[in-house]
Amino acid sequence: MTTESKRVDDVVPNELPPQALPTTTYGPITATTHSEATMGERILDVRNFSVDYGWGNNAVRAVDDVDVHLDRSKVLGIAGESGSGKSTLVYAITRLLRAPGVIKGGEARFNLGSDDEGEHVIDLVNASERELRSVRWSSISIVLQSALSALNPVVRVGSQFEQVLKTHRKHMSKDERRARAAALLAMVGLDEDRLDRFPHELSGGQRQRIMIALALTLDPQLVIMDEPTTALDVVTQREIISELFELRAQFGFAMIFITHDLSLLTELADEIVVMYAGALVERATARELYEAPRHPYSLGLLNSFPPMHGERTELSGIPGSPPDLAHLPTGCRFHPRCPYAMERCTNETPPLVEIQGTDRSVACWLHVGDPAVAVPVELSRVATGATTVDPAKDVTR
Amino acid sequence: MKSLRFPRSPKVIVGMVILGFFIFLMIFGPYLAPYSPDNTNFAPLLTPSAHHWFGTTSLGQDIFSQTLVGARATMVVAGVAGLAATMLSILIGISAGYIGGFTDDGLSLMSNVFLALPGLPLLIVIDSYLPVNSRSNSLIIGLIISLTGWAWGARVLRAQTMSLRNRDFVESARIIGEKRMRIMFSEIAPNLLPILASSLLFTILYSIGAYVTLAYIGLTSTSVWNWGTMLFWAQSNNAPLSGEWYWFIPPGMCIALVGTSLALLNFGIDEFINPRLRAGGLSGRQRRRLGMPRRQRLGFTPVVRSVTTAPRVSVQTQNPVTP
Repeated sequence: MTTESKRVDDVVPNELPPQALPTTTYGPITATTHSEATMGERILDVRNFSVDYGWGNNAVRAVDDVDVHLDRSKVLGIAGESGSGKSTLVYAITRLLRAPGVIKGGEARFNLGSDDEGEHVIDLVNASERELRSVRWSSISIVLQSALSALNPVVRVGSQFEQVLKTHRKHMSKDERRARAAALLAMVGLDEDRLDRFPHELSGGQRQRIMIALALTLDPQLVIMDEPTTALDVVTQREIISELFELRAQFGFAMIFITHDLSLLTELADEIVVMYAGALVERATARELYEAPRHPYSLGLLNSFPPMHGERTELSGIPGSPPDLAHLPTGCRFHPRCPYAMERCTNETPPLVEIQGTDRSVACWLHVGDPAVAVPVELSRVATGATTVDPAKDVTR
Repeated sequence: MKSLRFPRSPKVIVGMVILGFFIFLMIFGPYLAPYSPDNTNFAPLLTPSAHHWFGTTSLGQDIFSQTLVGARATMVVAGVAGLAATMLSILIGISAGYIGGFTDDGLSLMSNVFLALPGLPLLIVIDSYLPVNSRSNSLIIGLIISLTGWAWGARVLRAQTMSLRNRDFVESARIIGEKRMRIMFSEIAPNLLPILASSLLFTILYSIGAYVTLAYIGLTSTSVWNWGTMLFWAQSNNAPLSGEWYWFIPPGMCIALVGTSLALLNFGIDEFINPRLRAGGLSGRQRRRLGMPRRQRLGFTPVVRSVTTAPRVSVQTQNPVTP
């Protein structure tokens, strides 16, 4: 699928001159290039993504040069404190970010699947409004955080399913639509008679289940979950999460899961990216991040939650509070709060460096840069797999 | 507070300039008038000239002076009536909406009655009972006009208050133990500011219309010059029929311009109150310089590429581990 180029692209070239390589004295640093060929199993490939709030001198960079990617049927977790840019990133990828949000660069290629003509890839950043509308909900759907305000309070639940199906599945008859809605409700463990209720007649957990069922109405390839369980109690949260995973096993959609609850993510996600003040600080598989975090911020986040399994540990948390994005500290964004901060951290911004052969990246001068700097033991653990319970076994009880 | 600038869109600037000009006339008009508006020493029905910019009436009065002097009474009455009517509508609307019950029933009934009664005949009836000497008093006329102008605002404010009264912040104010008056006027009223502001502007507009109409049909004292009495004299001397356009066009234009400026300002209030519209306060040139799209649509985040990206790097090994 070709995407028509927008007017702004004619003025500003798509490829801007790259900056010089960072001065790291350790190891051979190589610039990595991504192949532009086929996406294959990859369903979403976001590169060099930057988002601003505001214009001109008042602009604040909320997402700074971020890369994320996601394979088919996998779960990507995005973790970080409030205001770290998690939701901004995801809403900007889907182009749903409201004014004054502006995408300042990058690409977000979405793989619609392949047929005889080859792969159908759409760059969401360059897509026209019509293309976006065809992709939304049918290929990418979203479960919003607040189910109460996302469901129309004066429309019965059944009609809300009806509207989705009427818009996107024009061939379906009224009975078929009703049957589809009932089947969807059954999938999330609700009775068919809920279709005739108004949203305010349902509990918070039921409403959130309806949001999930709505998101799955059109069999999307990617479902974005924006803190779907944050407003719910722990028991309901667990039930919904386990249902989600049964559904994923059944239908094979990929998920992006936004939450600040890192311990939840370590059980759910295949891969986790940790964001801090708008930038990626670490990317790793869920198990590696949980057992062997490399970035001090990831470690701090992990220490802020009681572990679900294993021994009791003292909760420590992270001192201080996230920086004001309009006045970021020099050097590493995290250095004012980092217990391991060195002199270099105050002056130079660490690049997000991929550690070859390990399938993980980290942006920290402790790990790359100077071989004279020794890594503290808590940031150099090796993942053994001993402490993590198999997520599939755990969530399905 | 730097984000609380008034939007600088052309509409608002034009509106403010026009309104500012008429407020200037209201204050200084009588001193700037070249002649007394009652002075009948000139030749009658002169067309506009350097001596008499807007010509003269059939009695030989200078129309330019009348227009300048008439600005004061017209604007003062409109302002008084607009403010008084808005006060009334705040008081009645918020109380009805917040307190509810019998209070609401009574106050709503009252505002419905005032809405249903045709304003102008009521005004004429009240006005004809006034002693003649108070018909020249701008304050009293303004207050009487406000009596017929408050009901619409009160209805709107009542509805908005009812939607606010059960919001969590009002609930928490009640739990804290704040007094009812304080909740109504410190918690709820600030949320009504956008409605209040536009309601004030439109009430002023209504008051100008009502006052000019009263004067035009001769129910205010003819000794006070305002744009309505000018129209009254023009009409009673058959100016429109005999083509003496310079007699009735100046006051008519003034009324129309004041109305236009108020409507334009109302656009500005909308942008000022709603921060999501605030980017709309920029001029076209400012938007282009910032690379902003012409208009930003919901569900279609704009893309403006202007970011240099850091190179993506990898290393083979990482730093040594502390033993």
